Amino acid sequence: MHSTDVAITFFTFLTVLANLATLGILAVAGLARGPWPVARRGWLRLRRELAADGVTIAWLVATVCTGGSLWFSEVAGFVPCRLCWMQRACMYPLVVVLALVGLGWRRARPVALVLAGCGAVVATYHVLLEHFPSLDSGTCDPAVPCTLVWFERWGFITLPYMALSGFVFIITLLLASRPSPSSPRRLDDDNSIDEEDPVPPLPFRTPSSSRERTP
Amino acid sequence: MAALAVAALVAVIVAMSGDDSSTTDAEATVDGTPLPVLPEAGDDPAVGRAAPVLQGQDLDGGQVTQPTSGRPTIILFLAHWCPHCQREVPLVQEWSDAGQLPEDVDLVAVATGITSSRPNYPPSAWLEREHWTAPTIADASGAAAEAYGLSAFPFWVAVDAQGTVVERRTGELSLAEIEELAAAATSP
Repeated sequence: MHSTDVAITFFTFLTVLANLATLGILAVAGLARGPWPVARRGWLRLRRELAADGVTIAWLVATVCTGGSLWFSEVAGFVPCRLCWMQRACMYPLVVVLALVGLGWRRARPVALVLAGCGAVVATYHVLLEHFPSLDSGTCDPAVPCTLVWFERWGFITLPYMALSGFVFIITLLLASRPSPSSPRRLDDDNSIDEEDPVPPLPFRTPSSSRERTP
Repeated sequence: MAALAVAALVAVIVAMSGDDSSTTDAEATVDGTPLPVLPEAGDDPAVGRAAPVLQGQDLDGGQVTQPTSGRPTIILFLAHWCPHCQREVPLVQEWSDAGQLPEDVDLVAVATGITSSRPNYPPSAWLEREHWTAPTIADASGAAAEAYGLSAFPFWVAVDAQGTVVERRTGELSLAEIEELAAAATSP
C-alpha cells in the first residue's frame, strides 16, 4: 500500500513534467507565429534541439509509460479494464516503433504518430468517462469497470490522465522534431542514415524562409 | 510532548483501522434457491421465483434478515467503488428522508463487491458519510449478490409480500423508476 502511494506520487510528478514540457513546446511554437524575431529564433533553436533529441525523449516517455503501466497492474494490483487494454495496445508498441524512428527508419514515424493518436483518443474518452460515468451505460461491471477510478491526485491526475499526457507529449515531440520540409530528403530511405541535423544552422536563414518552417 | 502527540496519532490510526474491518468482513448467509443471472435483454427468468432470504450483519453490528415475509421489499445491491452507486445513494437517501418511500415497503441495501484495494473502502464509512439509514447487509464473500444473480452495479430487486421476485433492474435509477419498483413490489 505504501509503495503504491510513492509510485503514484512519482508518476504524478512525471505527468506534470510532461504536461509542462508539452505546453512549453506549444507556447514557443505559437509565439513564433507572432511578429517577434526573438520568438522565431527561439522556435528554430528548439526545433533544432528536438530534431536531434526529440525522438529519444519520446522513446523514453513511451518506455516510462510502459513501465508504469506494468507496475500499476502487476505490483499495485490495479486490474486493467477494457479501455486500459486499448491504450496499452497503443503505448507498448511505441517503445519499439520509436526506437526504430530513433535509429533512422523514417517510415516508422507516421506509424508512431498513428499509434500515439489512437492512444490519445481512447485515453481522452477514458478520462471523460471517469468524470461523467453515465457516458457509458449507467452501470458498473462487477469485475473490472472502466468507470473505476483507482486513484486521483489534485482532482484530475488519474491513471488514464497519465496515459493521455504521455500520448500527447509523444505526439508533440514527434511533430516538433519532424524533419523540416526544406531539408533534402531521399525518396527511398529504407536503410539510409538520417542527416544528423536536418535543420540548417541559424545564420543562413532569413526571417522569410524561417517562416515557412513553422508548422 | 512530541512522544505524546505520536502516541495520540498511533492511537487514532489504530482506532480507525480497527473500525474499518468490524462490519465489512461480515459474511451474509443465504437461505433459498439462487436466482439465475439477470440477462442483458429479454425476459427475466427470475420473475415469479422465490427470493432467497438474506441474513447478515448491519453496518452497526445488528442482525438483519430480509426480505421479511408479508412486507414488499426493495433490495439495492451497492459496491463502494462504483461511481454509479456513489451517485445513487444520496439520491435514494434524500427520497427516503422526504418520506417518499411507501410506508408498507421495506428498503434494504446489500453492501457487496467489497474489495479493500479499491477506492472508497470501507463501505461502512461511505454509507455513514451519506447518512444512509436503510438496513444494510454486509456481503463480504459476495454470496448474497450471487444468490440474486447480480449482473452489474447498482442492482435492484423488487420482492412482493409473498417473497416472490417481481422485478430486477440494473443501473442508476431515477426517483420515478424507483417509485415504479416500489409500486411493482406492492401490486397484488
